[in-house]
Amino acid sequence: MPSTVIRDRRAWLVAPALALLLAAFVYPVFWLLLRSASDPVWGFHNYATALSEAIYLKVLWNTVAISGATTIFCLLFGYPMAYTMVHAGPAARRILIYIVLIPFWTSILVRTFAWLVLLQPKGLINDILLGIGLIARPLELIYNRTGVLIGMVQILLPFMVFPLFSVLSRIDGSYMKAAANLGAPPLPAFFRVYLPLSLPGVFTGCMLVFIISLGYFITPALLGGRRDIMVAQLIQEQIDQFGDWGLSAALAMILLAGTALIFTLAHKVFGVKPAIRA
Amino acid sequence: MKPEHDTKPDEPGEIILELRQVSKRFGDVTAVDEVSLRIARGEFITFLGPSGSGKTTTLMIVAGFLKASGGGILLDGKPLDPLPPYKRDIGMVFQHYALFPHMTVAQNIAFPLQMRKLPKDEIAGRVKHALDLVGLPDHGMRRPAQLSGGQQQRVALARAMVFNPRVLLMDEPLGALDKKLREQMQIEIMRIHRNIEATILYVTHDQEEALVMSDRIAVFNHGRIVQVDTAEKIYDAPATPFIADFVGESNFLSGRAADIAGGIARLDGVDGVDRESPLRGWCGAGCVSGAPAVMVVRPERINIAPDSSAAPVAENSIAGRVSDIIYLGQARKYIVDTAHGVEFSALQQSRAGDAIDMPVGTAVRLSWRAEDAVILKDQ
Repeated sequence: MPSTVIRDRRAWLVAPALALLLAAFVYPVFWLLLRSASDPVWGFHNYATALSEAIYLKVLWNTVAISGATTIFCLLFGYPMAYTMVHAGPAARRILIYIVLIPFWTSILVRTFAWLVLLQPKGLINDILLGIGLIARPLELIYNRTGVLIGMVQILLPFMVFPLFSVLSRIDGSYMKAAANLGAPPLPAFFRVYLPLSLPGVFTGCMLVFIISLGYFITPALLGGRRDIMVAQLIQEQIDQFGDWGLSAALAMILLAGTALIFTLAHKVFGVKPAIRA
Repeated sequence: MKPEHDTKPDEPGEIILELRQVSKRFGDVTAVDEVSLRIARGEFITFLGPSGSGKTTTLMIVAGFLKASGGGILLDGKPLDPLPPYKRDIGMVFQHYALFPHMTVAQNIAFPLQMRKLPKDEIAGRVKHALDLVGLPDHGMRRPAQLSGGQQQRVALARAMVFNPRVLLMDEPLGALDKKLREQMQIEIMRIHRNIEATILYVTHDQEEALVMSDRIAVFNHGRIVQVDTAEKIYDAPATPFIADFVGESNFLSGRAADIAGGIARLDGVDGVDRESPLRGWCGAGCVSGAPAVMVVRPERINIAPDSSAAPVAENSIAGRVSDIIYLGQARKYIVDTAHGVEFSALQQSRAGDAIDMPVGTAVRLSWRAEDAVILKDQ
C-alpha cells in the first residue's frame, strides 16, 4: 500500500512541508550537531562536560523530574476531565471542550504572566487565603518548582485531555454495561475494563505532555526559581550570556536524543500491540 | 421441529420473574406501556416485535440499565428495582457480544466468577466446563478479535451463563450472523437451554427465530404486549390483525362478523356486498356479531386452482387473476389480484418437474377451509 501511495503523483503535495522540514529542522539540527562536536575544537569534550559536571547533570535531572511530575499531574487532572466530557450531555460537553480549548488558544506568554499575577506573594491567591485567615504568611507559590508545575500543568493539560477524550469517546458503552451485568461494581469495572481500554489514550497523552515539557522554556523561565532551571533555559543562558555554542549545541543534542529515545521506547513497549479497539 | 418442554405455558410452574405494569417514558414518548408478564422457571420466552416496540427497553429495565418510570419487577418474589445491575445476578448476551477485547476468551469467561470471588481452581474448572458446553474447548487463550462472529457469540453465551444467573437475557444475539450460522446457533442455544435448565428471556425482531426457539412468545407493539402465547397459538390464533401480519404472512379480508355459531362466524359485507357464497372462519379474538371484522388466511392454507365457470362456487372461495409467480425453492408463491381489489398470496408446494399450469394472467379460484381462517376484530 505505502509504495503505491508514494508512487502516486499526489506525493508532490507533501513537497512544501518537506522543504520546510529540511530547511527549518534537519539543517539546523545538523548544524548544531556539527557545532557540538567542533566548537571550539573537534571532539566530544562538549558532551563530556554536559554529562559529567554536576551542575549540568542536575539541570538534566531537573528537566526529567519536572516533565515527569507535569505529566503525572496532567494525567490526574486530565483523565477525570476527559471522562466527564465523554459522558456529559451534548450541551455540557461543548462547554467543557471550550473550557479546555480557550486557554489553549491564548498565548503561553499571556497565560504565564497571568499566573505570575495570581501566584506572587501579594497576588490574588495569597490575598484571598490571608484574607479569610487560612494562612498567616504568604505561601511561596512562585519562583520555585511549585510555580513551574502549576503553570506547566495548566498549559499542557489540553495535550492530555484531547488524546484521552478521543480514545475514551470510542470505548463502546456496552463494555461497562457488560461488566456491571457480570457482577462488577463501578470501581472494579473501571479498573478491570474501562482503564485498560483507555490505555492507548493515556500513553499518547503522557508522551505528548512529557516530550513537550522536556523542551519547555517560557513558563519555567518566568515562574521558576534560579536553582531549579530546565535544559532549555540552560541552553539559552549558555548562548546568551557566555556565547558557548559548543556546549549549548551538545545540550540540545542530548535533549533531542533523550526525547527520541523515550519516544522509541514507548513505541516499542506500547505501540507494537495493536490498538485495543472494539 | 420444536422440542417438547415440561413447562406448560398456559399454567406456568414456579414463577421466577414477574413484571407488574412496567412502564418507561422518555419525555413525551412512552416506550413501554404497562407491561405485565409472569415467567416460569426454566422457560424460554421471546419478546418479539418490530423495532421501537419496547421489547429491548423492557429487557434493559430487567437488566437494570434503565429505570422504569412506573410499575415493578419481582425476581424470585423479591423486588428487583432497588438492586443495581451488578447485584441482580442476571446474565446477558449483548447484541454485539461486548466481549472485553483486552482479555482472552478464558479471562472473559472468568470475569463474572472473579467478581464473585470464587476460588481460583473452581474458576478454572467452570471456565473449562463453559468452553466445553459451547463447543470451544481449545479457544481459551485466544483474543475475541481472533474469533469468527459465531465463535464470539458462543463465548458471549458462555460468559453470560458461567455464573449460573437466575435469568439469562439475550438481546438480538444472532442479529449479526448470516442466515446459515444463525440457524445453527438457534439449535445450539436451544440445546444449551435444555442442558443448563436456564430461564431465558430472548429479544428478537425475527419472527421465524421466535417461532423456532420459544416456549412462549410475547408479541410487542407500541410499547405494549399484545399477545403472550405458544408459537403455535400465535401463528394459528393471532389476537390481532397486526400479529397475523407480523408473525408469518397473512391475507386479509375486511367486513362484518355475523351468524356466529359453534365458534364459526360468517364474514359479511366484504367490499360492501353480501356474497352468495359465504366466507366462514372460526371466531377469534374480538369477533362480535355485527362488528367490523377482518378475516385472516395464511398463504399456505389456500388452495389455488384454475377458475372453471362450470364448477359450482364453493364456500370460502374468491376469484382472481394471477399477477405474479415467485419461485421460492420449496414452494411457489402466487400473487393473485382478487375480485375484491385486495392482493392475496397463495403458496403451493413445488415438486421437481412441475409445469406452471397457471401462468400470469390465468383466472383462478382461491379456496380454503373454514377452520383455516380466523375472524378477528378490525383494528
